[in-house]
Amino acid sequence: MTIIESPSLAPGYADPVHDAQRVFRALLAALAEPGLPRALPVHVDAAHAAGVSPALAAVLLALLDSDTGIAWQASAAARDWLRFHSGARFVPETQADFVVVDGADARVELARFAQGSDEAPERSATLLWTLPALIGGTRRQWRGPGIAGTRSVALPLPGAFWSQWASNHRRFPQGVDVIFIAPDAVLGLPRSIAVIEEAG
Amino acid sequence: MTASPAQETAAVERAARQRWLAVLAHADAAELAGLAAPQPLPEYQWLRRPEVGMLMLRGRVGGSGAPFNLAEVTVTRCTLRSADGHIGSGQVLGRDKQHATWIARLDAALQDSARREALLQAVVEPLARQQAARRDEASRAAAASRVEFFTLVRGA
Repeated sequence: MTIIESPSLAPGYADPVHDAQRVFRALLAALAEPGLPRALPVHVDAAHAAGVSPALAAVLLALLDSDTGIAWQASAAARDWLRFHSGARFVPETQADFVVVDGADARVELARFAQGSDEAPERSATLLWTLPALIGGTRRQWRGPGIAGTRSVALPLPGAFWSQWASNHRRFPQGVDVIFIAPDAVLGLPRSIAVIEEAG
Repeated sequence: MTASPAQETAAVERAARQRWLAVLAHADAAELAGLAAPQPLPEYQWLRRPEVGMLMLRGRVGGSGAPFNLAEVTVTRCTLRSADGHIGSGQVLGRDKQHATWIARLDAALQDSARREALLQAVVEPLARQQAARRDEASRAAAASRVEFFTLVRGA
């Protein structure tokens, strides 16, 4: 059965050109000022029919095309939906350009994904990490390019993630970057950012 | 290995669909609109609105069959789901979004066995006959200008 016959095939962006540009702008801003939540200007509500959350769908359609590889534990309907609209290839997570991480899944090892090389650090994985919210966790101080001084961020992530992050940060210029996706906003964490636990 | 009845039916279906998609894509846009507009076609929801893009057409080298890039062409495509659940796709050379839309709507309706016969008779067959007639005319005109060469062999 080809994709075109998939009964649950759902629409993508309502306005492909402008929606893609608006979402990409929000993602650029999120990575340029790490730790600062950016409102997601577009939600693909129709993607619900394929089992994809509207916020994740909006980000996927902005970032993926036939040249990118994605690793995503998704249902067949969601895979068909993504392949139809973007042409993206599903690849193993060690080779993927983009890796979708479900916020509830705590057992993620950052070192498993593509880290890039010294000559081509950009050939690394970008994690698309879905979370129920961008606040509510333990407060930590973020420091690095794009932040004047430090910025206080309270992502709801376990401590184990932050020890992995410290190793990832030390691997600079290699390493992975993360884009956190909540239902209404996105937040960027590039590998250049050091995250320190708040004292006291 | 002989195909199962189900596989044969699917192959026949596919061939029929390829044929009507080809006829609709080769049709003149105005003629197609004229034939399709009076037809009762179901309501539809867009999956991919008509968009214009580029495709690389590939050919095969005469002798070896090795593929090569023939030309980059402009193609307009769209996909929709009709009210009875069939997914129709329209693809046509050029930038005519309305032409692609008619193809997709007809493709979805033709997949419905209840509507197929009537639509084939009313829209697809007239266009197919016109296209065949035009091909014959072009062949005849080309044949009329054909030059026969004769080679004379001298001496022994």
